[in-house]
Amino acid sequence: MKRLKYNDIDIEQINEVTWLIPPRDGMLVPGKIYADRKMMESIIKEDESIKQVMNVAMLPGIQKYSIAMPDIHWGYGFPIGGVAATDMTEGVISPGGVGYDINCGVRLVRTNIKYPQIKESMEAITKSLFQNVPTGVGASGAIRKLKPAEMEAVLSKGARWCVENGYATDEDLECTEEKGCMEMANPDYVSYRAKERGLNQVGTLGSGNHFLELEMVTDIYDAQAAEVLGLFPGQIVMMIHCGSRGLGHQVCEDHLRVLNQATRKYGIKLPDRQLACAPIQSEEGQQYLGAMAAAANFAWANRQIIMHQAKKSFLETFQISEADLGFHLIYDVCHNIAKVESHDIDGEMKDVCVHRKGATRAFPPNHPLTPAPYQEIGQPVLIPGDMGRYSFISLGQQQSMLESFGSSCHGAGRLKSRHKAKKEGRGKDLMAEMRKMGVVVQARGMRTVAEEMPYAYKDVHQVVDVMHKAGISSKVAKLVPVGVIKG
Amino acid sequence: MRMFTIVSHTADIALKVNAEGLENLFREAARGFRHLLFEDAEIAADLERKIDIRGIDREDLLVQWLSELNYYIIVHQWAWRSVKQLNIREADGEWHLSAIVDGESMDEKRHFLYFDIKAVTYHQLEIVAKGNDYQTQVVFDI
Repeated sequence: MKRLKYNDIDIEQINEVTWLIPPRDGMLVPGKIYADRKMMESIIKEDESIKQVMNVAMLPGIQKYSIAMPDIHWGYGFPIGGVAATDMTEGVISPGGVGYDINCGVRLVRTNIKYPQIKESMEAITKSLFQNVPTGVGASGAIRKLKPAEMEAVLSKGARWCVENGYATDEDLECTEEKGCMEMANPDYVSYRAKERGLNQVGTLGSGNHFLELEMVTDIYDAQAAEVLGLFPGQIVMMIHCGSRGLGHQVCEDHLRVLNQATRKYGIKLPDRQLACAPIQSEEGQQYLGAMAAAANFAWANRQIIMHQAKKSFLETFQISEADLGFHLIYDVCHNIAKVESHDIDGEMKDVCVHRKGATRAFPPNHPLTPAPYQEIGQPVLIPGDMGRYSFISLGQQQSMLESFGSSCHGAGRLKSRHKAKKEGRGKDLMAEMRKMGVVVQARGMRTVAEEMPYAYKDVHQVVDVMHKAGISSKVAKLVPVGVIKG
Repeated sequence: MRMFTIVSHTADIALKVNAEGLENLFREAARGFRHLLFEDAEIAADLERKIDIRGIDREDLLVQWLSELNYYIIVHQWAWRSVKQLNIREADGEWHLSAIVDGESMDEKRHFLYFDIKAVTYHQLEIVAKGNDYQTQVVFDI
């Protein structure tokens, strides 16, 4: 058997892309990491994320494995790229398994436009998008400030609120994970402060690694699936990456405080207080789940309104009809969430609480929760890369239900710190460098551009290929950025 | 003299703080946090705010303290200049902090906010004391 050493621990390679950490030091289940050998060697060297996989394996009620995707890196409590399912009666819920940006996710929209048709108008369209979609630190004001009663409705209804208010169609809901609304949402458990932070942030991108990108379909790996998704070579698609903004951050912060006390109250021993948790069925656990679901609903409304604002930009800039534009949602996935789902545990279907922290749901063909239009091909998995190279669309496959609680990877992961990336960009005309790569960038400040340059990120293609080889999610198409809006 | 250092992590950013005494550690953490957000931008003392918070231990209290300051920036667009008074006490198994901070409403022309702090984290957070010398490192999720 092939092995690699992490401190004094033997990590066993069980196939080309899967590694196992045997249970030890209080781990209740083994750790499982998806990576090829080269990636695994660098994961071991890079940071303490393997230790975090082992810590997660100590959570009460964890089932089968503590899992990590190939884009694993250091996070808070859980590693980014971490997946864990906990028993509904004996298990716990942990905000550390969801993250501060609740329902951070990705939305992909297709158009009928081919890149050569708009190549000369990239400056105009990106400028218009930059105007219609507020970006940056504390961005606000995409639509009028919500009244408190409207905020309650957004938190309860998510993207459904957008349909009722003319920002979305029923077709959009069909192509959104959970149809854009988690029913377990309870706005009463969202604090006044969290609501205050969210009132004027609906329809805003924020800053950091969040973006809106225009991308061109360059490579198609599965022609039949691409046809179902409405993809063709040269086509312009739009990708949005953002989450629940300040509202979600505040929900996490508020409940982490409560769960820190609950961890003591229920006598739960943890190796890291960022893993603070409470039994799912406890009052504290139920309150966090209700608030988390409300924040998730806020994030779906947020991405839906960004899509609505972007559509205005396309129609105004190109002066075309809606029919000619063909602006249709392909799919919207969340990659920071906890969900109650049914999975095979020792040969029996059982409800469990699946935590996905920097991991995407990847349900296979014929699964009841795979959206109707994609029943034959599987649920789309949207995997953004960096702003200079490429992103990917994959599809959930059967193996994901057997191995990873229906989950796949979510992105590239940083290679260099923001400070290092900024230093490397010093004295360079970064906008010109991006233009040389064929990408027009609009951003509020050069600092964000410097921090987000392609060399600051790992190659997402390797991540996507590992999941493809594992049979978890299969590659359908490669998308290359041509226009980027950043905070 | 600065008793803080900004440390760059792969995805996030941290603040390392040293000070004589616990209360000074909290004051210095606020000063370092302000520098991280605004670098050397000048902030006037137009308004004072009273802050009262609680924590289950010293580390939790530090997270609550910096989170409170971050809240004023994000929701009220108000930046602090200095900590005028700060008292920490332990009672009934809880830690209490009361402080008065001064500052002003943010002006886009003078106060460029360098980071959108999602949250102040508990990641590897520990306040270590050797005699009266206190030190800690706080990681911010950005």
